[in-house]
Amino acid sequence: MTDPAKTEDFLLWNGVGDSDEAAFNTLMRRHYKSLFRYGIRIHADEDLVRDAIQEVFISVWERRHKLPEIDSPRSYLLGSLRKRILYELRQSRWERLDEMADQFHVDFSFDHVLISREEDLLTRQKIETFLNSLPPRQKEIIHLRFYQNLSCEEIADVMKMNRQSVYNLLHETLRRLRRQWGPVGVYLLLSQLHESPFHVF
Amino acid sequence: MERYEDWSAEELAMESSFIGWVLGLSDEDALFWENWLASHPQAHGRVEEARRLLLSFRETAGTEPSDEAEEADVRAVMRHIRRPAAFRRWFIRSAAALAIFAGAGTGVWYYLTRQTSTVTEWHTTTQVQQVTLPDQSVVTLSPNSHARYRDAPNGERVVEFSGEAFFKVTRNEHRPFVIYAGNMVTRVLGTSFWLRTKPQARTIELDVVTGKVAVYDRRNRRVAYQSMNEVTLLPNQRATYSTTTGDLKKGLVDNPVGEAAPSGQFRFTNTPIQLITAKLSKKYGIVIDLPDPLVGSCTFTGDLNDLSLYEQLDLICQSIHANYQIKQAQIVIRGQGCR
Repeated sequence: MTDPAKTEDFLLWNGVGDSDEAAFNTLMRRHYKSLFRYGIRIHADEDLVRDAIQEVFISVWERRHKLPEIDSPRSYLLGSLRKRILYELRQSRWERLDEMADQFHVDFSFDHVLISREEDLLTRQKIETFLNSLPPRQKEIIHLRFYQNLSCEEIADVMKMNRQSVYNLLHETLRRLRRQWGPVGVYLLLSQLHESPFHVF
Repeated sequence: MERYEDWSAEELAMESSFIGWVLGLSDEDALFWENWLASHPQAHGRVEEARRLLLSFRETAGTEPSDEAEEADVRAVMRHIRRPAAFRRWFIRSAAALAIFAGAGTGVWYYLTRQTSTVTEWHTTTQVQQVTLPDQSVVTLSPNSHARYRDAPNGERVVEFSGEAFFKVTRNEHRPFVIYAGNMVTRVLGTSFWLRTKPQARTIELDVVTGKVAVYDRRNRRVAYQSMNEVTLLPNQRATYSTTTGDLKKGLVDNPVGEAAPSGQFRFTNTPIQLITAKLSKKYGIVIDLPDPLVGSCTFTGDLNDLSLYEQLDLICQSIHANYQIKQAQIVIRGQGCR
């Protein structure tokens, strides 16, 4: 499936390569908000995140004549922002990197409207506790997959991980989450007995 | 598609189109999955589980980016990227002045400007000046005009321009010739044309003499990116650009010039109008439309040699009680017809 948003991103990306300021401006505005939402979860300091976003774009412009071959402008930008924020934190004397880099600020809470009425309070609490106690890395993958709508391939690109590891971590998280939920109903038994072979994209 | 039949709830929850459906991102995905579900009733349990998994990931709202922050940051970046270029221009100008003062200092100037592309500038005050660019294109600058030429790193030949000039561009398919006059961008391969910026009328005019020219508003590229608002011009056509609204209009030049024809060619005796207009059309490369066939069958007798196109049209129209209008880049002749 070709994604029209991605095609437009590439048009803009190539425009930047041709020194087109208008294309560059549009590219920034298209991605500013999603970069901010991602950045603020890596580090909660708004000013630092905003500075980092600006620096990411400035460096794209400055290197526009030798931009790297990329699979997706969006994941390239998110990945650059991640690298930039972690670098800034490492530079800062007041923060200890091992503390900072090991966080991903996400809180999960149920939207009861969207969940079917059969779920009781206990289940809700169980799920929330489970999700909120996930390791930061897993939270980050969840954020990128389900909020930023990135593919496993793109997440691997952003987080500098192996694609298969991203897939495995996500699969594992979902498997454990499913166990927290318990069965859906009677007809469910069948599908639980029938465990499918591990699927690789 | 059969491939989802034995997928687990986890696998479904990781599938892009499935996510697109559950999170309401795509109508196309919704259509697919609703159909799929109808034809695979045995999968309802797994689909419901997968749906529930996805809906669990509700993040509580965090700090949201504000529109003001976005605006401020985008502006800051744009300012930053423009500053170094302005500095470079200033630097080159001062270096050039220094070299002249030093008399023999031109070597220094070349040394300093070698890294950046060489920029050459011309100003005219009261005289007409003809300049030859490095690619052998010739620009004839009218008084009070200003042009600056550089070879862009992407191979384009770039001119920034204000005033009035006649451009005769040497053809080079690999190196487009681009002229910036304010926000109006003109892109050609090899042609000749007049370009006039008219600050008082807040317009820019481009008259094509030979070849083909594309004109667009620099800012419009942002909206659609692919030059959707581009106007393509042929000889004797004029683009008028409004510097206030950015509108581009296509019309005809004041005085269309035709191919030289042997004398006597334009002397007619009881000749149907449509034959005459076909001949004029061919000479000037301009479409002349006769919407009413009754007008086309009127006849004209007279000598149209050594007259301009508009004088020729005036004479024809007077004799057959018709009139003509210029619409876009076409001439339309309307009248009552002849008995």
